[in-house]
This record gives sequence, C-alpha cells and structure tokens, in this order.
Amino acid sequence: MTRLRENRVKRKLQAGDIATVISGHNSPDVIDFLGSIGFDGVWLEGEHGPVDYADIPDMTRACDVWGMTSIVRINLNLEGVLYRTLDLGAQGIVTPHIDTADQARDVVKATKFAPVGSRGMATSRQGYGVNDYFAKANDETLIVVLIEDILAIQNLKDILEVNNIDVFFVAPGDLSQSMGFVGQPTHPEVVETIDNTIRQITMTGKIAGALVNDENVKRYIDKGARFLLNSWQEWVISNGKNYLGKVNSATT
Amino acid sequence: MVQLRENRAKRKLKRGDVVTAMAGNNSPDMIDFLGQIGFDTMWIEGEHGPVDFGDIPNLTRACDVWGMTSLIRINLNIPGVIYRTFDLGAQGIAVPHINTAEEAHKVVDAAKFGPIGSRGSATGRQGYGVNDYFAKANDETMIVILLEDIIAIDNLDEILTVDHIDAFYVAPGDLAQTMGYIGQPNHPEVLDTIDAAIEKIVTSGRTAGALVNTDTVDDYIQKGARFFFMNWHGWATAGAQRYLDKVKNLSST
Repeated sequence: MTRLRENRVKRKLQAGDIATVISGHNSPDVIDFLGSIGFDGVWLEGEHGPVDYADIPDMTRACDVWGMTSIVRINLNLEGVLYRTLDLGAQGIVTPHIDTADQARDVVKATKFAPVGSRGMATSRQGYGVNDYFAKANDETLIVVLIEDILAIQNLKDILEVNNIDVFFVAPGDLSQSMGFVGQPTHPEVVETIDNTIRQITMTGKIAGALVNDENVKRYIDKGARFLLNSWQEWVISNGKNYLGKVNSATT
Repeated sequence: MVQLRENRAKRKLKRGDVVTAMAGNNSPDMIDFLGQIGFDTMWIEGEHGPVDFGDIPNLTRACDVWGMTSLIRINLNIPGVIYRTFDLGAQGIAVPHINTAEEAHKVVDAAKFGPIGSRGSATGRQGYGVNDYFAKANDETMIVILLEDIIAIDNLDEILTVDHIDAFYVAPGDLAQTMGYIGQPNHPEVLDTIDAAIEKIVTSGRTAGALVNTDTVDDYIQKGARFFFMNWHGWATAGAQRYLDKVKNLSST
C-alpha cells in the first residue's frame, strides 16, 4: 500500500528541530534546482505572488521529488480556498492576517478532517494510492498562521490557545505598518514587539516562526524561533553585484 | 514613430565592452527579478532547456522592460527555427555546434534580412509600430555561435571569415567531450585549446566568448574575451549553503 508522504517540516518541528523554509520566485524547475541544496520546505507565494490553483500540482510535485514540504501561502481565510489548496497537493498552508482566536479556529476547521475539523471531503493528489488517507492526512498537514497585525499581538494569548496550529509566524512587514511604522520592519519598537511575541509563543510551548536573513538568523534561533523563512533572492543579488563589480574593475 | 529597440549587448560588444549573459532557470518573473542586478543580456535556454516558441514572447518582454538583450540558444540550425525565434521577440540567438564556415553562413542567412541574408519576411513582435523595421532589424539582431567541437577548432580560420557574427563563444563542455575528456572541461589540454581559440578569435579582430565564474572572469578579460556566459545557480547555491551551514552549527550548539 502507498504510504502518505511525510511532512518533513512538521516532523522536524515536532522533534524540536529547526525547519528551514526557502522562498523566492518559484517555478517547478526552480524548486527542482533548489531541492539539491537541502532546505526542509518551500514557500509558494499565493498571497502576494502569482501562484494560482492550477500551478499548485506541478509546484508541489517538484517539492515532493526532493522530499521538501510544499507550503502555500494563501490570500483568503476561506474554507474553499484552504481545502482546495491542500487537495491540489500542498502539504502546508500559511494563512495571513490571523488576528483573533476565531479566525485561527476557522483555519483549523477548514484544513483538518474530522474529528478535528470539517475539511471538505476529497482525496488530495497526495492521497493517490493511499488507502488510509483520511486517517493520516491530518498528521501530515502543516498549519502556519501569520501574526502580523498589532491586533493579533493584543489577542495573542487567546490565539495561542487554538490547537493544531504548527507554527505562529511573526511577520514584520505588516506588523510594522499596523504599528504606524510602514516600511520600517527593523524599527526598534517593531523588533521589540516581535521579540516579545516570539518569547510569549515559545513560553506557552508553541512553535514560533520568523523571517530571517544570513545576518540575523542566530539572533532568532537564540530567541527560540524554530520555523525559519529566508529568501534565495538576496544571495543571487549580492553575488551577482559582486561579479559585475569585478568585471567593471577588471575593464577600467 | 516608434524606434526599434536597441540591442544593448550588441552595442556594447561593438564598443569592445564586456557583456555578460545571465543563464539559469528562467521564467518571465525570474528575468524581471534579475533585471535589477544589471546584466546586459539574458541567456534563454532552448537547446537543453524547456523554452518553447510559445514561451518566447513573455520571456523576451521581461528582458525588454529592463533593456536587457534577450538571447535565445536554439537547438537546430534551421532557417525556420532561427527566424521564428526572432519573430517572437528575441534580440539575439546563440546557435550550438557550428563546425564549418558553411554552417556559420547558414545562420547569418537565416538571421538577417536582405541584402545580407534571406530571413523569412515578417515583422516580429519587436517591430510593432516600427515603420523602418526591415531596414533596421539587422543592426539590432545579435548572432552568437558556439564553437564546441574539436572540428570547429580545426576549421576556426575559415569560420572567422564569416561576417555578421557578433560573438564566437568557445564552449568547454562539448569541446572537452569531443577531445576525449568527457566531463573534464578543466582538463589542461581543453583549457589550452580554449585559450588558443580565444587568442585566434581576438587576433583576427572578432569577439570571443567564454564560460566564466566570479573567480575566473578577470583571467578571461585579460585573454581578450568580451562575451561571457554566467549562471546564477551557483550564487544561490553558495549563499544557501552558507546559510544552512550556519543554521546547522547554531542548532547543534
């Protein structure tokens, strides 16, 4: 019998390990290329990015061939959006702007089959040949909620009481905007709020996620974040500029 | 009147400047993102890669918005393939495995309108609103040929007599294979052959191309090559590896 594909990010988080998730422009071919490097999961961008439903099967398959968890950020906290994304092959869902415990519960309800929730009944692409799909699917489905409004920070204690959420990801961009510091995600007040939030999440025994780069990753690991999101694009930009600089200085 | 879009890479090569073609997986969004870094041209892969005719308009448009020359490596030296590639928006083509002067002439004939050649007559996407398209197109069309078989090196003197070729790119991978060193593009004999070919191209007043990386590029500039092929994958991989190693070290302490 075919066994349901393991969710590597979820497994690592459950073991208390760090999960590295990579974002940036993606196509099935780019994901296939990134697969060789060793990331645990790939962030597929459907809140601000171009990922449509019809793109999800090919993109998530490219993740599958490397055993990377496919994580789709959706744009609407609506049942039909959540379960269709999973049906098409996603192993994880990121839902933006979760500000209240009720909204968090809506996410869980739409992404988990009974008895946990009431996800629309269909066998996902991940369930081909898997006879016990409905019994196992909940265990291999990763739920990430984005804490990115000051309102969410105020409601954090309630939100953290909602079960079956794997990661509470504190997103700096919108958070800074909602605090009156648009475009200043590294403003001291914003950073302090993020740090406090990560601490609160970690202290309640839940898993915190953070947006990191090469410079601040140590800081966030030390703070307790375990779900780390980075983007490959900066590496190409900095190395590309370095190369072009070298060409310029060799010719002038 | 709309002016025909300038071919940045071709202009720079004419002035003797260095041009870097950026290769790696591409999609219109990927090209749009790479545009900010400052490359002169994007190498769009249709010899070994997935680029089909139907992909060319969107891929080349993404180059256009950043003023980067769209350069497509095709897989067949056939007129129908060459002119269709231009018609769909490419500003340049790279043609693999050119081994004789005759094959090089064939490329020019298919890529240039009369009186130079006999490119199939059609206004490409690049010609929208350009009334003098047929008069100007040849000037903005870049031709790169790949010298990548030992037979091409043997025939190099003759090949270099063919006009209207903007860059003679000496490609190490296949060259090594045809020299009996499959998978060893850095074999000393292969490197010597590449250097000698570049020298001959440069001495004859033509533009030589080479595969480089950040460590080797100055060396090839010194040798006189001006057209470079570079792939961004190595940069993503190197950056990613450093980052993942850092995370690993931090989580094990």
